[in-house]
Amino acid sequence: MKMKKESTTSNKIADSLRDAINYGTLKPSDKIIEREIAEKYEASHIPVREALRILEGEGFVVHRKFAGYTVREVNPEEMIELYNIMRFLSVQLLNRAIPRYTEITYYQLKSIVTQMEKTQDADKNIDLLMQFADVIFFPAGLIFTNNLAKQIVKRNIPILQGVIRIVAKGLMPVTAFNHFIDLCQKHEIENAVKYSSEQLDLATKTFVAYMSESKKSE
Amino acid sequence: MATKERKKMTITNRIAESLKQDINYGKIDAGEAIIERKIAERFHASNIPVREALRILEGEGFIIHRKFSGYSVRQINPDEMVELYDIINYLSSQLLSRGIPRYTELTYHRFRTLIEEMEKSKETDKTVSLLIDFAEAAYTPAGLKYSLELAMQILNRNIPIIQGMVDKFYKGTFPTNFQRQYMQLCQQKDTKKAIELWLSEFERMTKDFVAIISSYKPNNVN
Repeated sequence: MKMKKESTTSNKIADSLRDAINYGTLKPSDKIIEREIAEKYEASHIPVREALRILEGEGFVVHRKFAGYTVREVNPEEMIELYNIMRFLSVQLLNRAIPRYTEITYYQLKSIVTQMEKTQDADKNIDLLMQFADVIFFPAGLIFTNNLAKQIVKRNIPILQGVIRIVAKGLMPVTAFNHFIDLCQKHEIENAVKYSSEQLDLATKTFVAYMSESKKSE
Repeated sequence: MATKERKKMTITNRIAESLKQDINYGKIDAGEAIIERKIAERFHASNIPVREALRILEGEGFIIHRKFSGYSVRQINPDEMVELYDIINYLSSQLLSRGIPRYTELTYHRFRTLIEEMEKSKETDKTVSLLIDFAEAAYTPAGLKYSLELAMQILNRNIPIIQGMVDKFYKGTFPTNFQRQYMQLCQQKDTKKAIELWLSEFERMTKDFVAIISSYKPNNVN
């Protein structure tokens, strides 16, 4: 559930830079010059800096001393590290959560999947994906672990977008989600956990392969 | 090197981080009420970022909200300790198996400095922060930034526990046998034994803690 975003100047600038990165107007490792942005949006440097901090938090840009802000470049090694952590955390969470699913859980999951089928908007899909993750992990009752997992996801939105765009060709893997729900409903906990790890594994491998391919062709 | 990247923060994040530190270091006790107005005054902020910061802390399990009585600091329960133990165990073995082969003279120099300071330290807070620095020095060479960050977060969350241990068991000089032995194993390139030692130390601490906390009956468990 998203908190209502106030549309302040900094949010507006952040939104527009995010779009520029997503649509490739700004490319990985491109420099971001604060002064130019301030001029473009006729804003002072305060909201510009706030916007860059927001984007830094979401993993779109990185900040280095002396060099300033640049568009983040995700490397395959980082991807593999993230994958290892996510797989470990999700197994921990799912093993405890699935046995506690109720009718309400299934109702929520199915309605999220239905919404996924209907939309092709990338931002909306990411939102739905995060909601899905929330619903499947929450019943574990492991507040801290759940929060760590969420933090990692939230800080790597560009990766998530990349995976959806490249691996799933812009569509959400609805069949996979349905299969997972199905396994849970049949109380095949071990299989459901295994299946979700396999899906994560597959997505990561495809994405890493794509990244190394596109590096070569540069 | 343990040059912590100073995160640029929004007001909300700054308030949240600073309250977390207060809770971690016991400046605000478990069960103590958190008064929004006072926080707003302290940070010269309006009530909007304060409320947002409190929601972050609630989400992370630092505080709880009760109708009518508002926010208060939450007590860590033994269950949660066990939960964190599994994660820190996993992260530690990842970080150390990659990190130890990369240790340099500089790493060992840092270890030695920290150990000497621990032996000199007379204050619990100081000892605890040195212990945490030691872990950071051991984890950093792996070059796994997410794993490092998560591990440090978990350790920081456990400061009250580490404090309790230091207070209860080590009046006077803190014994640094563990740190010295760990360093020695790493220098001998015995990565496997070094990791085993590290993990068994964590296990011991967790068990001790669970024993302590189960021995007194908390009156307000959430």
